[in-house]
Amino acid sequence: MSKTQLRFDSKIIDEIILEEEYKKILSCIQCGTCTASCPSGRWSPLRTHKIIRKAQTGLESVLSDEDIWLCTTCFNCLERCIRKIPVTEILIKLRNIACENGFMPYTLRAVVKNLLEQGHAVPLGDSNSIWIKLRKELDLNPIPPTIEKNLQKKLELDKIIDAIKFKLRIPYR
Amino acid sequence: MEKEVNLLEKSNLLKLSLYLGCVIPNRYPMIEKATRTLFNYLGIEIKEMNGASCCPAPGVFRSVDKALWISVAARNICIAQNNDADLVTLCNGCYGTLLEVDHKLKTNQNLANRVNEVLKEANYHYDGKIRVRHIMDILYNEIGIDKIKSLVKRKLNWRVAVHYGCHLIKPSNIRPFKDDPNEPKFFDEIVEAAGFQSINYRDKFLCCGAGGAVRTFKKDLTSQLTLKKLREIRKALADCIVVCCPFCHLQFDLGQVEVKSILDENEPSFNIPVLYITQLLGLAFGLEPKELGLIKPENLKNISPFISLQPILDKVEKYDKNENKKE
Repeated sequence: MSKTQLRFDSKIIDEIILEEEYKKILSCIQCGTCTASCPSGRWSPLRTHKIIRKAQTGLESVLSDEDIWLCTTCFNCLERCIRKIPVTEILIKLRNIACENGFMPYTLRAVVKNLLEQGHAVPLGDSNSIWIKLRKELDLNPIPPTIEKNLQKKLELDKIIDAIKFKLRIPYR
Repeated sequence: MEKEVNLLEKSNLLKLSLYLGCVIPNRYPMIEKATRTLFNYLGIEIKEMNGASCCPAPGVFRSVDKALWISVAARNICIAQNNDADLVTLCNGCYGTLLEVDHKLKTNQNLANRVNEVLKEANYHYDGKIRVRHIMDILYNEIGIDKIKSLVKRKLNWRVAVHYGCHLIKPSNIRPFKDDPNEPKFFDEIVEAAGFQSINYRDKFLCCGAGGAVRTFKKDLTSQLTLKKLREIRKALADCIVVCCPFCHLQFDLGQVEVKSILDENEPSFNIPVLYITQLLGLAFGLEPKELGLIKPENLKNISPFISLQPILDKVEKYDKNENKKE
């Protein structure tokens, strides 16, 4: 018999089941359909049913577990779960809790910085950017009609990010 | 450039807010070029989404913070709403974000109220009056298979390996395609209607490997998935890969360069051209390759596409020559 204590009163499970739909995690019977459907798991150590089990039983180590970042969010597991548990979304929720607790992977922090500073995860670059030159070669407007280089519109985004107190809540630096 | 033709009935005229995202305008602008050309040809009116930001990308930003993900997406939807025209995205990732957030806001009044409190700071108000659509939804459900068939001018009959991408079809409960998400057919139908052979290959519905922030977090793992797909596509003797997402596009294009380091001994490297669906359809409809962004400027190094499209351009040229002879 497993010695794992079932702690359905843990902090993690409390946070997960804040969303009505996610309460279904409590009905997981560890059948393994999610793991069997997982493309990432074919080449990586990600075993989705184990992540769900850890979350269900309140093992906080799941938050620092690198495996939660190996999911490509293909949604196979969510489509196929026989209990209709939104598996992928619960895994994403675990990532949210991990980030709040300072476990955001460093490579992601650079992408977050791009959005906060330039409004794009993948920005165009400065005025000498090779991508601006490529746009010209294609006979497109060199600067696309996006938030890129549009300070007025960028201010709107800044106000929204301030209003949700993102910089205060999430350790992203 | 062909003269603009209004192929849709006037009463049926489509007007769409074109959402570009990040990867298309900033890394694969040939997709933007081809889509503008094709929309113009089909008589679809484009409304620009001035000031639209990153959607924000579902892999990174939904994982980092839901409040950020939802409120930035809501602002983008509002820009289309102020155009009074449905939003069309050319990217599966942006589709995932914008469609999911729009659905949440339309079905959860409490959430919509909270988001509107935030949007007020930037003078926006979400009212749920427009729809979020994907280019494949427009092609399949608005233009339709019959119309596509009737427009074919170059019958190219290439062996095409389609890649759907995950977020186009899943979660299936709120998507506008009736097919089984485990084995959809609509992309194949569009490609076949345009005069190509959509080939079967193993692991056709496998993820490209780039999503869920995995390309950012662990590129080695992404490459493993991409390599598997490329091997199967090569075995099936495809002339080209066709995608409907710039991130899958990037992954199959740049990815062919990146997998070089993990090939088996003596395994040849990959050189399979990658086309976006609007480029493929444009070619079938007889449009000029240049107008579909199918050029490679000699003076620019290290730019997309990383895999040469010359074999495709040669085939088009040869086809056009033969047709001219017949006339």
